[in-house]
Amino acid sequence: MSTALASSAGLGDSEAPQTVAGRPGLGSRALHSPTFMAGAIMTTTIVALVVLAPVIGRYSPVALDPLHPLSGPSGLHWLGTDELGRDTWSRLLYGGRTDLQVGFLAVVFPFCFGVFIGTVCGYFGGRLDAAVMRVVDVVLAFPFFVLIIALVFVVGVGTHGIYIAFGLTDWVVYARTTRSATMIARNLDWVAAAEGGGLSRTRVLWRHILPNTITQAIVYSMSDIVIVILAVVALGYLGLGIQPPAPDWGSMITDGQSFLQSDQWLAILPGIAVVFTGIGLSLLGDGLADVLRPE
Amino acid sequence: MTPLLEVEDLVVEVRHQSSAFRAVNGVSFSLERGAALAIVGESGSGKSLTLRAIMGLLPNSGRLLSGRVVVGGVELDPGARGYGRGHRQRERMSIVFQDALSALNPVATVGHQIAEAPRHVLGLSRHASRQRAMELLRQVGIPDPERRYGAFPHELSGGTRQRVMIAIALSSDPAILLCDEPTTALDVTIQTQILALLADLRAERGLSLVFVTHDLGVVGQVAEELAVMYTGRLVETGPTAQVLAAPRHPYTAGLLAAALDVDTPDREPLAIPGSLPDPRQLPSGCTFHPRCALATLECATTDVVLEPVGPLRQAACLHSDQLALLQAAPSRG
Repeated sequence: MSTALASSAGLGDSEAPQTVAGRPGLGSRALHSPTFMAGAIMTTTIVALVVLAPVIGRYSPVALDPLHPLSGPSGLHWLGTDELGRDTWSRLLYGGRTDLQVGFLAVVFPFCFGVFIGTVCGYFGGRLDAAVMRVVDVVLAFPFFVLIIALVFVVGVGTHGIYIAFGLTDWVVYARTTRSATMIARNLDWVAAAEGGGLSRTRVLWRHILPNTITQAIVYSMSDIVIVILAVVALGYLGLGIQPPAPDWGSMITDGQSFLQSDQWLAILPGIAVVFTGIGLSLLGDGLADVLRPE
Repeated sequence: MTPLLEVEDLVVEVRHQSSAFRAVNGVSFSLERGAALAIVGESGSGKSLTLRAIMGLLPNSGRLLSGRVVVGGVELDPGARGYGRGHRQRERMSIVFQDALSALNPVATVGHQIAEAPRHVLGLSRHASRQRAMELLRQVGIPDPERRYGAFPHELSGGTRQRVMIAIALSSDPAILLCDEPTTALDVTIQTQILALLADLRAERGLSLVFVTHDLGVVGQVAEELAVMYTGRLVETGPTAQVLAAPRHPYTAGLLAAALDVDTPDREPLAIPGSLPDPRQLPSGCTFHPRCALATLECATTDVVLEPVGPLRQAACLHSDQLALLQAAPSRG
């Protein structure tokens, strides 16, 4: 900044085109946002832990230790074992691995499809827009979890059921937010200027409007991953999610429920993991909203 | 020789909630190659919508009811938007907006925005369009283009942004530049520089200009032709110097009387009585008659149209002769 000012001060032009003290760059803004940093650190920690699961897990998540069932935390099993003698620490890491993976993957298709549909509808409007928005209204009319549970029940339990259920329903949220952002953008002067400058509509749409409207969708996708993980956990709790013996936080909570009187940590630990992940991703989303907001 | 730009009977309807009204009502004008026309009027007179209608960039609430736009002998498709409208013809038009900050894409560098049309409209190579953008930045008076190329709009000052906006408008190599109050948001000193830049560009490139403003003070500097607009209609047209010296429509006279004049500082500016009428309930006959000192009964019942009032001049007033007589009489000062 100081060099920019120094060099323009030396210009002979009477209207020195001085750089208005602009906003700091993206990276610097990110570093100065406590919300973003907290979210990023929490999310990175979780991701690092689950990625390193084979290294730091010590046991296989499905290995039985019949000699030490329901043992409390010890040197042998850091966080104890469940009723079959499976290591809780290892199951927690591998369970997070499954849940995070499903969470991220289930959001990819709704994000892409929803943003595409929303952009096209918002820009062109007309009958296509009216038709798509009626579909969106219908999907939104159902309580979200009820719809997901019903769909998983129909298409089959397990991860593919979760992907299909979210693929069918979750795009509507992206479509709606992107559509309204695009509708606002298409009436702005710089869009008119780009159109008037002779650029094709496809170019204006994808190169000018989308980079301005997509931030909302990116920010929402962070919260959306939390929603998916919660849904997966809820489905796991109902027995419709990840199927045993594959570890997953939801089924860990269900299994631990029977031992709430004696061995509380079996249900509490995966619960804490869900909350920690949820808070981390939510903070990351909020922080991203601050950092990415266009001037 | 046929004019470069011909606009005929432009009618734009604006829908606002349940009501609809004609914000532009039968505007016609033509522009020779290299000429400059200024359109003057109060806010809400329909002058900006006229420009947008010519460009095919009406907002969602606006609809073109009728009108022909002919550029370089080629009639534009009135239904198409922006690019689709003019892609067949060789003579292009570009538009410069009032507020350069909202008219620049906030998330793209200015260099990228200037280089885009050369690359994707004129079909130059990546390198050539970059060179072109640098050259344009230099042409609009931005020093050190290499450094400015990568700047984002919010990093620039208002005057520089307006220069960038003009560079973008020039990047598709237009024959006609439509300017929608390009200097209204700027300081007077910067305003003068931008007007000088536009004059230079006209001289260098043979650019034709349509310049919309509400500031009578600047029209003399930019355009030799003047059109005065009121409630969506042109009420007076003619050579700028003649119209400003001896207006033949009471509205033009009123605008001039309302302006401060540095040459006669003792003269108090006189406001035009009343205010701009509600566009949904325009007065009958001449829409200016409720505010006009010369109005007679006839004015409320007769539809006035532009009539020749001199060799090059037209005015839409039943009493324009009377106005001429008043001006001829010695003023009591």
